[in-house]
Amino acid sequence: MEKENSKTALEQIQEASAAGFVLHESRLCAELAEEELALVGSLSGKKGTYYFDPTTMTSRYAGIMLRLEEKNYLDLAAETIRDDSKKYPRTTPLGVLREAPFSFDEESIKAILTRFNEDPQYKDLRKCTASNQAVHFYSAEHLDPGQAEYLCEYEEVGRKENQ
Amino acid sequence: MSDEKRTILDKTMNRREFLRMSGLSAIGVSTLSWLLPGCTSNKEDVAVFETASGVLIHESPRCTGCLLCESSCTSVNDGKVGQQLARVKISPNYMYGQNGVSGPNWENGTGEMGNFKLNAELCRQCEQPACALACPENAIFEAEKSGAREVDPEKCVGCGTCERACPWGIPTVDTETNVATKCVLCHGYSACVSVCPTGALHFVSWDEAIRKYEDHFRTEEI
Amino acid sequence: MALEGGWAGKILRVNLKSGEISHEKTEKYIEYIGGMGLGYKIMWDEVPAGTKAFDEANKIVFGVGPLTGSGAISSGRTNITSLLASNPFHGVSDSHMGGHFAVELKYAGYDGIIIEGKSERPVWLKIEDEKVSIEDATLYWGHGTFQTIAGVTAIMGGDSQVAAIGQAGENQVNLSVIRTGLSHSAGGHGGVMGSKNLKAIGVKGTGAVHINMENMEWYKLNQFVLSIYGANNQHVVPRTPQPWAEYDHPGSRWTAKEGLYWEQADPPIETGVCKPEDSNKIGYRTMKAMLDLGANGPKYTVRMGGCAACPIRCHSHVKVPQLSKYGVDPYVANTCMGFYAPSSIMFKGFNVDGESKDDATVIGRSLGSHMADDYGVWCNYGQLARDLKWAYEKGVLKRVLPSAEYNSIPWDKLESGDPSFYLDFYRRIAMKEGELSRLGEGAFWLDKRWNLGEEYWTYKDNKLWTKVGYPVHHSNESNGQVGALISSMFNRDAQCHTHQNLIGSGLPTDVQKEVAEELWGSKNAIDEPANYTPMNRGKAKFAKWSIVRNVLHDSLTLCNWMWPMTVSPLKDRNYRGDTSLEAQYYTAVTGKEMSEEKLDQAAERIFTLHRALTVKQMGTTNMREEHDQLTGWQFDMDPDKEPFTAGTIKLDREDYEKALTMLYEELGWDSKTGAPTRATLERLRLKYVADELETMGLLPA
Repeated sequence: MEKENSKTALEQIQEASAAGFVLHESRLCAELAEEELALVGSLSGKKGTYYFDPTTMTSRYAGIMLRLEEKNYLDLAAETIRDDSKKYPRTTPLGVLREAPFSFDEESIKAILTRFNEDPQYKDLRKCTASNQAVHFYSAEHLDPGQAEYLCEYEEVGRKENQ
Repeated sequence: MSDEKRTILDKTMNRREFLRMSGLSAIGVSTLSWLLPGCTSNKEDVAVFETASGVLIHESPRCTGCLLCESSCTSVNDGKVGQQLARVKISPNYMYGQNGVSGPNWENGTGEMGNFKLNAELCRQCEQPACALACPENAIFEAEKSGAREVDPEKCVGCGTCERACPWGIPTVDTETNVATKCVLCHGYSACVSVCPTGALHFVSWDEAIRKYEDHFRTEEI
Repeated sequence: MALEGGWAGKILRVNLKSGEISHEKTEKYIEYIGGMGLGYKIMWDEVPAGTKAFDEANKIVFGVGPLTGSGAISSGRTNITSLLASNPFHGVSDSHMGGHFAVELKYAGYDGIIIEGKSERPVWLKIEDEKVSIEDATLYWGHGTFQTIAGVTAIMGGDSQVAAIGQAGENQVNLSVIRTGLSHSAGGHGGVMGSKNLKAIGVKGTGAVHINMENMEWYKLNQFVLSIYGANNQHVVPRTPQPWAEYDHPGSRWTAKEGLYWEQADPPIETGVCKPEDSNKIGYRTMKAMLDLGANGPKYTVRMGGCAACPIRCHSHVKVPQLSKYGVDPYVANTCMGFYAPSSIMFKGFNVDGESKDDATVIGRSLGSHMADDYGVWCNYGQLARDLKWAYEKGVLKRVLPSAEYNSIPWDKLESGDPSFYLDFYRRIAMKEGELSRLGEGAFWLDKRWNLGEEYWTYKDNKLWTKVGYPVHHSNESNGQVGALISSMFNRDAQCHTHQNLIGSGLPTDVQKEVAEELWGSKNAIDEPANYTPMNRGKAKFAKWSIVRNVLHDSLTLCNWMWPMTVSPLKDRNYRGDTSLEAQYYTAVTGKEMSEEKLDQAAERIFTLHRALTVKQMGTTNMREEHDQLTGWQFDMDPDKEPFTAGTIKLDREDYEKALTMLYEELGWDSKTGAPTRATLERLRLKYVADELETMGLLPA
């Protein structure tokens, strides 16, 4: 680990971001100097502060990595769905959560879906199914159910018919 | 010139042989570049070329045939865009490979209409350049910085001897100016390499070129 | 004034009846830029109203423009203009193809080819720079496009480019293509070549396109364009979340990611993550095979391919060894509808013994693509398959086909998903075998012949857009009235991607709205998808701009599947693109100072000429009633929903009429009829058009 120690904290963050990760404050070799702080991005998670290099990683992606780091899959899934419904707007294909960077396994997905169903804090999250049987989710707080149904069907079927 | 450099050069100069053989280990014996087809000049005075700074290579599996290399080559060097003048020559092989439509079995040949493999002809900046050696006007010289073999437009009479002498037909006489042109490595900046959207073209040192061949470089039959 | 850059300077004219070969000077056409503009101008001047597509008096124009062959990014397209046989009144239309034919034509020294007259025997046209000759094509007649292209190339040499028709074109099937290279088809005009007994055109060019800008400046301009380029369709966000990207979209064609390979490359090549600044990886951004051929597309992919001077490689080149079972070469390439349209002919899906569903899909789609391409059958943007499905499932075929013919068709293969159905199906269409082959006449003529009834037109899933007999192509699903208007203006399916590329860019609607405000003065030009608002002025401006740029690109020629650069993938540009680039390109190449506004006006001239051609050919000014009306499902779909509520793309009849009026106003056309007025024609330097229309009584009051 001698090599590791020869790096500055800033370099540690830059390297982590270049490799696609965020760095928890506890892993920094030293405290960040003020001028270093100006160069990095930071996000707060349940377990403290995480740093990333904004020149190679967006805060959106850092947010995903932070949740993954904290194994907070439930919030990650819920936030992703709400974000998609609100921002674009669009529904979120369940398949997206199976792929990188999420890469949830079937067991996690099953657990997440159960919580969506049972926990009132996720009651805005709804399921819709396209005619090809693909499942999408959306947040009814941000997206009209009818619109969600249309968007889900378009993404799965319509897009291929309209090239 | 160091022995090592000469060995590398000879290997590269001897690429035709090299490619016919199954692997690098077969290339032990060097064939002097003088033996290359077309290098028949006896003008001793031009045989003083130093190695160019590097060489262009083409990674066939990555090439998708957009020919942006050819258009960039000609726009940067000639102020006009065409295929005939391009020093990176993919278009002649693009459709049906180097053998063209030969017989009923073109589906299995190279090229867009065959097995999709696209081959390029590139200037090797030969140590003993057949083009320069053949030039009756001594118009092809070694550029100072890049070491590329360049045509002096003042001396060139557009006779096309260079074009015929080069085994790969790289030098080309511009029919509008009646002056031959050839790859000059963009005087140190390769437009074709920088524009290639799939990174199929590289400008590499000679050592690097050999290493690339050894690693994963696949080139097709010539 | 001589032309100094961009244009080659001359247009080839070939009369197949007299055998005369002559030249026109391009100078007299430069107000029409080239390509599509050149085509319309020649059609207006030289083809009388009332001519039918396969009449000897019809002409066919292969047009390229000042940017074609210049190395401008994505400038490899050929525009083909002629009358369209599948259209009810044989209206003027365009078909386009990519590949390398266009640039070869420029290097041979031509800005276009005008083909006129009819040869007495099958011929092909041989163009080697200034040496042009009409050659005997008896040997190729009756053969598919692959054999024909190979045959012509064998004579002309490997460095030539060929455009050819298959048997469908020879037999004057309305839905037939002109094809070049391995995978580039122009749909609609194959039969016009066939009617003239012209099997192929071979071109070999050794010249160059001159650039009127300092060498390195031109190089830098192109590098700038590359810096704001996205993926296919100018999608500017990746398909999956990636460290570099603030946005992503599961519908994006920016598919590049870790672990995605061209698996049949030797050695396999990983597309990897392709950041916007990695200009040497632009060609890996779009892995079209995973979209065109489904989950197993990558497994069969040797590489991607595409057109001259385009870094976006949107054609999937696959090796499918299983095809040998059907007597077909394993190497197939195509893109988008080239795979998808044949796929939907097999509307019961694919099923191949010993193959997984995903492998069967690849086998089926690539076989269908190859057969359609070889016979040269056009899909009418997917309509051919929907017509087959309708006629089959509604019992129409049982009614109209003689029972012997009906029973000779291997319906069991269609039912079971056996792709060898294609071999039979496309042969019948291309060879005009039996009554089934009427499917190749196109929707309008098919209804006339088979009496399909009003329900055929008003059934939503038939996707028929207007009674002109073509389908949806980025219509009301694409920003409501904007896509709807664009789709109603042409004489075939609209081939406009300007609006669709922005809407499909992957950027959030709010970002798109900001762009809309900058370009068309109103955020309301863009709505959330499937949550539309009533018609407004911004939408009319957006629709007009979309068409104008589409027409501009087909005239310059640039690819409208990438251009214009409305947005970019760059956060530090706030995702803005640069809409002045076409004008910058024009100025750079031709040396003629050109502004964005003036160039748009030239394109408006071209589009207005298209409208005038339609008025002249239809013999009426009443475009609103006779041409621009929808089939009806657009207003009646989703009966439980009101237009302009969330969750429907339903339009409103009154609102649509208002939309037409607003678009007419934006274009300076008569707001009542939608026909160009004298004032507008004169403003666009089309006085001669106004004069001729007036003598025909076709100027609006």
